[in-house]
Amino acid sequence: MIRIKKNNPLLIFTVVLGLLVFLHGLGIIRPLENALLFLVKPVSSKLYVWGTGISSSYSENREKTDLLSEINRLQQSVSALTIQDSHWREVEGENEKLRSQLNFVAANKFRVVLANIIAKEEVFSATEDSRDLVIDRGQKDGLRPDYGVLSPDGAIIGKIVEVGDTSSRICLVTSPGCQLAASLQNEDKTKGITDGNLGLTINMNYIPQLEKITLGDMVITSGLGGNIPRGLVIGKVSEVKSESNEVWQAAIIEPLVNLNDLTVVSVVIP
Amino acid sequence: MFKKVGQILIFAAICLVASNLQFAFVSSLPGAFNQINLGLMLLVFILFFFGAKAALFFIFSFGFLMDTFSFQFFGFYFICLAAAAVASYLILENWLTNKSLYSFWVLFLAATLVYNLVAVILAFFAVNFQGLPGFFTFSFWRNVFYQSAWNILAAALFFNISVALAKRFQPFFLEKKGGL
Repeated sequence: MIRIKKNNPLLIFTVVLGLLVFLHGLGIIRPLENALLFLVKPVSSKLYVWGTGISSSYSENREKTDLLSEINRLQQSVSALTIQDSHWREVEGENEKLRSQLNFVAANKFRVVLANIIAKEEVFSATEDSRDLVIDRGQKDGLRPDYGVLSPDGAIIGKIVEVGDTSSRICLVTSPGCQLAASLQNEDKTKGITDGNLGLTINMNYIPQLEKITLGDMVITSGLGGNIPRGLVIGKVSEVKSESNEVWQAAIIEPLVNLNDLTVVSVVIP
Repeated sequence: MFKKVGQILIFAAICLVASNLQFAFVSSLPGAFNQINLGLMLLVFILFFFGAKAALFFIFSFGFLMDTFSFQFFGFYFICLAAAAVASYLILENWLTNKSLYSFWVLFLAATLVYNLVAVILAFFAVNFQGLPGFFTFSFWRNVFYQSAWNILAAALFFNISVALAKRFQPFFLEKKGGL
């Protein structure tokens, strides 16, 4: 007969783990879990801001050498954009008047929920370096999977993949597997799906060869098949991969915001 | 009785602080710094200096907190920490003959490797075996390397502090009286 020692640590571990998983599954210990999260959320938020501050200053030091050339390039870009901006303001004003005349509700007037980022979570997957964000809002605040998440500038940075009672997990647009229905702001209004690439850039694949893509074309959400509204900026085209013998071409998109510096985001409620 | 309760409360507070630091602060640090694994460091330290029972208590406290904060399936951190503890315990009991800094390093390296391997295998189960397990990627082995480096540094620090505080681990030499 097999004898089992009373104080066998492996036995204790298995029994307690089984019991905890069982109680968690039934939701019996959920009040305790929520209370713990409620307790640590303000501290987590502060700790995350400190960590991000360290991260930002680290990357700033590393990139100092590239900054001078970047400033020159940006100054040229600012002057060009200022001219363009005055033109768009005029168009926007005209558009607003026309919409109100038609009793239209402006397409971009959606409700948003502000949230603090409290952590980054490693995804132990087959894809290279992938980290999701955890925010301090969840199901109780009306969030659901597939809702879009915006940076403070209004650019889309990812979407919700999982919601808890009081927290949610967000995949970033640059993370592999994080897909968004997108549209290029070119003559053909090319539509496609974007997918993250190595946590750095975004790919837009399977674009027919006949569609004309130029560097700098803006990429926005297409609003197709989901809870993310149309017109949210994803990034701009930085490279086009087109081979004459291929059926499809691909575009590499660069996000407009630094996804590592974010501490506050807003979730779009459609 | 009060002493025991006090000890448990201090232990729980350490676990709460460490898990929150790991979850919110360490994860937001740049480059190799976000590979610091406080849970694993504390686990091996407790196993080495305080024994299996204390380590088991740590696994439950720290594991429960991490599983509560994280979006991995419930039990993920319990299992990873337990696997690392079992591997370290077996090495400590069967192979290592003394409690030196080198033994401490061996335990840390074994625990790091087992923890990460179990983590990617569990994550592979969690996504219904889609794609390949994470240990086929370069980033997995790079992260194991970074974690090992941090753990070796932490081990040297922990060990020297412990030796300075407690005389139990200080080296001693047998000297023959009267010279040659």
